[in-house]
Amino acid sequence: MKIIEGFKLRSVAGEMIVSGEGTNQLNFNKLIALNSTATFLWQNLEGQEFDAQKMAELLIGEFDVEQSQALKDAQQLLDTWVECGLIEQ
Amino acid sequence: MERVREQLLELVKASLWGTSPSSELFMGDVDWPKLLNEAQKQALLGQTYIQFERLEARPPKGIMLRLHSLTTLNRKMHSKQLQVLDTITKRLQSIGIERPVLLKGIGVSANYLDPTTRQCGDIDLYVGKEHYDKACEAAKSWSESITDKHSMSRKHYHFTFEGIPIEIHRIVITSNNIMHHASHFDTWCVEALEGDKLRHESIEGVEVYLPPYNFDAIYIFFHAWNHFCSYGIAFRQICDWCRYLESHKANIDRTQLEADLKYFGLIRPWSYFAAVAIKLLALDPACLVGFDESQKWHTDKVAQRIWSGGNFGFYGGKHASGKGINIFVRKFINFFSLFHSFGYLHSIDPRYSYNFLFRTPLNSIKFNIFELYYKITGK
Repeated sequence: MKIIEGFKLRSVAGEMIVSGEGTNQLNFNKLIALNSTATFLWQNLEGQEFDAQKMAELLIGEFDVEQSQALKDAQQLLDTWVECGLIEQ
Repeated sequence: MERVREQLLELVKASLWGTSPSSELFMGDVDWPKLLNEAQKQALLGQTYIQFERLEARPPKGIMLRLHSLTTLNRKMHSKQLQVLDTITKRLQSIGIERPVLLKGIGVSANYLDPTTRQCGDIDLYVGKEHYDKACEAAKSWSESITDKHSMSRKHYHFTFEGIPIEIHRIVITSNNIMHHASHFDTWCVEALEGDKLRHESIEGVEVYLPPYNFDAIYIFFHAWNHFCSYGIAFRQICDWCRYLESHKANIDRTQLEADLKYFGLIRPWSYFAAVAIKLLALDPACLVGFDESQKWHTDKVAQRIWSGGNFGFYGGKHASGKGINIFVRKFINFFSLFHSFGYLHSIDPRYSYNFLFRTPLNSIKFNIFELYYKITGK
């Protein structure tokens, strides 16, 4: 899986916001706010192939979290990103 | 100068030259809606917005999110324009028009530190008289992608392709008889855009042909000056010129540029804009030629016309180019507008203003005769 080209993460008034800026997102009109954990993952995954396992490894390396919890959280976030149309399979 | 205008120029300068905006100017109450209204009028919303993140004081969150949405929309349009430019250029090349020349627009955006924040306009491609009919015929056949009615004139063919307005140019710009050697100006343009003199460059991966450096220095200026005289311009147009001069100062033949400006009688108009660019937008004077700082260039009056007219004069209330306006009403508004423009120009340069007043109607008659001749003969 990969973040679709054209989605950009920018800081807007103290929040981290993902918006679609490329030709792939001409009809994508949402602004998606990320919390600090999701921002950390986005910044480390942009431009790369990844799955829930890789996301969990990043979480374990950065935060004090158990593997089962990290994997559960990663899968939940990944499902949200897929649902929002941010990810290509 | 009004505080809100000072604030706007401070943000624009920071975007133009990559400097930090002074926070001091934004201490205390800031009239954000008024500031943004001016930014919109001057077609500089993107350049303004990206600087807000660098200020300690910034607009309320709701306004910031709205501005972010608008800037994102502009960025999308920028990407779409590049995609369409690539398609159209390749299609023209496939029918034997090897070097369609990209004029202004996205070619000028490329000179900005963040090209995606410059407000998008249309795509202008020059093909010349030789290829014009062929290009127009081909464009008409792309009907699956043409999304509104198209129009053809002696100067250009206008259509919309996948939502992007396109102009295929037969003539790059119409000379006016206010300038010196006007008839030679047309030949000068054609010769400057001959194949081997063009710049072949890549804009974000799209291969394009651009006019030679010296040609663009005059063309970008002259296009803005023509609009300034007739209806008005925004600071965006001056910013385009500033960024161009700064980006290509090493490539421009300064001696030749000064000689050409003098030959075409454009050195005084050039100097009016130069004074505004230096004083209000902090352009490095070393980027300019033929500018005598010791003379009076009426910067405040020139700036006033820019502030009041806004983007291509659309905010000045004297624009009569709208579709659906009765021809007699349009002629009346244009006549009124001519005197209005004359008044402004007279306060800046009386001699130029009289030339403008008496020669503009002659230009218009000449233009209409040429247009009629083109429609009858196709030449």
